Amino acid sequence: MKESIKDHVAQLFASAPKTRRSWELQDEICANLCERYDDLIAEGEEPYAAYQKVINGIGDADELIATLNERDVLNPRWEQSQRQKSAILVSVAVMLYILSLVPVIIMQNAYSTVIMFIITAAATGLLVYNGASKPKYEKADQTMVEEFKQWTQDKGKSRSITGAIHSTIWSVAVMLYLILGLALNLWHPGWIIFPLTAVVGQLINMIRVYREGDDR
Amino acid sequence: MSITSDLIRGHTETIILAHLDKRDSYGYQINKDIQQKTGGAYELKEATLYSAFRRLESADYIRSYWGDQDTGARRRYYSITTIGRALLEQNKEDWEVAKKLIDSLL
Repeated sequence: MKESIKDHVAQLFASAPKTRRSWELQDEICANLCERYDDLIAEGEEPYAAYQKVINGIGDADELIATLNERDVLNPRWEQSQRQKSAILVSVAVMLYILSLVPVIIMQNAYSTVIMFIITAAATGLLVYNGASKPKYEKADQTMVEEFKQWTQDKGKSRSITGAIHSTIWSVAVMLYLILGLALNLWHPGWIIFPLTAVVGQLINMIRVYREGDDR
Repeated sequence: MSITSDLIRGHTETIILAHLDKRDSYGYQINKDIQQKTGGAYELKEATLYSAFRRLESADYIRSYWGDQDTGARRRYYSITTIGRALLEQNKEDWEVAKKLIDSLL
């Protein structure tokens, strides 16, 4: 009987797009319906009566299937605007990287280096934000190829975010060290910043690994 | 049950949020809970339930995760978020206001 339940749900999903979200929803509904079926059998229902009750309890699934299709129809437009936003962020970030050298050339003193690092940190921040807000790659179907593409993108994204975060904290560390040294002449206790930053970097790695383990 | 179920269906999201506010749960458990609490008088259709889940999740009022199951089939659990809790409180207040208003008019 449970097979019949699965078949029925598969039929409902016949017009749904073949995306991961679709499959997951189908799985979820099947699992819940099967559990309901088991409970009814445990209460003493006949298999066929239980099956009927479960099927009748589904209700009108058309709207649900329609929402699955909706997202894909709106997708091209949404992706386009996301791509444009991303392009702007990257262009501004690169501009800032180049501009960061200007104060050093013009002013030729120690503060110009500090300004350079501030501008670099801002540019790196923009890139991190850009990388983090990229839309997730939706699998087109259940094949291994699509699964792998998605996995690669997820791994790449997390690695580029980590890289960006690390370069940011190191830029900030150098900046702080220069400020402490030039403005306050604290070169001696000031060097502690670097081992501290290394520790912070490791902490960030730990947090990322812990969070990635959680996502499984 | 047709008239009342239309009336109640508008509150489906609030009902789900109230259930998740107490503890994380999955689809069928919420259904069972509703059946028990109403003594079988109200049956929430699966389609209504899942549409509500999707709406709530896309607006970040709830989030979902896969639970570990020894039987091999994994269950999708839902949990309420901070703004979900805020929405729940807001909806509860709105319901109280609406209840008083309609009662005074009928």
